[in-house]
Amino acid sequence: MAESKAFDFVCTELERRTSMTRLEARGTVRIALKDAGLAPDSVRGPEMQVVFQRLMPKELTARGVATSDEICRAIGAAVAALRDDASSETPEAIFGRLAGAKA
Amino acid sequence: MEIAAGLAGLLSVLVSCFVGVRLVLLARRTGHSPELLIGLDLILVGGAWNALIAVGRQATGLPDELRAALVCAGALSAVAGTACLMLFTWQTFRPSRAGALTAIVLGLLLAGLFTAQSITTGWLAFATDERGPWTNASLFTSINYVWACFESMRHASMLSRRVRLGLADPVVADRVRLFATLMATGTLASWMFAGFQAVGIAVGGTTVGLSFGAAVCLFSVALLWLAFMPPASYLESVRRRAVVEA
Repeated sequence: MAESKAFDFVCTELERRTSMTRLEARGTVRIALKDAGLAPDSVRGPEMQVVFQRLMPKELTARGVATSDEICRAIGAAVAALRDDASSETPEAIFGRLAGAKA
Repeated sequence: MEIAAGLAGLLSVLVSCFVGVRLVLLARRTGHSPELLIGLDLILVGGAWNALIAVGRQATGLPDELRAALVCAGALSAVAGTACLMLFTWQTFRPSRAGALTAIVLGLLLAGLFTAQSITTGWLAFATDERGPWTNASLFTSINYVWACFESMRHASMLSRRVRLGLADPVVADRVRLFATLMATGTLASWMFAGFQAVGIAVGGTTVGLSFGAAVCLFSVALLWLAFMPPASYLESVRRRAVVEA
């Protein structure tokens, strides 16, 4: 399944701003997404921003990336502004309706 | 014990139908199919299947033709209801071509069993002596539940991680967890019933079968109630727990 626009965007930015290869960048983001309970094919910009605020600095530091906080802040801000892919209905939206949790 | 098990079964049938009708009415308002599919599954499997099979098998005073018609209608409800659950699982958790194929294949399992019973021993044999291919219905149903269980548990696990980061509503995450537990209960119960049948213990008429059946019914009712008609105090406790764990 194809990855989301937000996933591709942050991986490209990581490759550009660090010495990581394409494989390393994508693998690192995948690990952080798994920790966050998100999937590469459906993650959206605002969710990715939170991942870059809360989880990615630690992942990049562990991989010897200097100034990981600054890089994550910059990528997080940029990905939040990304327009979402038109995606199908999510399980959260469906289960949100089932007992009237959301209007 | 028979009276207690009967009351537990009746409560399960009534709650399944009540929640199912609420979901079908919700689908009418929203125009979305997932709530329609899960509502129909609850009405057809939790309500009609259990009720029709129980009456057809145990009401020995009824004419044979009527008993055969009742268990046949119950089995047909199971086929249709289980197909609805498979379509719900596909649409909700795995909306891909592979998911659609899995839903179709699993949906056809019980349909095949229904056809086999109809053209071999017939439904009177099942109503009177529980004979024929349909005796494997519990085992086949468990295969359907396994998929729904796997997908819902995977999503429940993902959502619980999202809740910790403030990326998901704890109430919705809890609802998916309750649904996953309901599917796990269905899987376990189907295996147990199939095991009982394999060693010759009838679910109706034996203390072991009746006790287990009653426990499953009551546990399922509690899960249905908390998942689809949660009281405000329960939702508040879910939100409080999420704040503490965050």
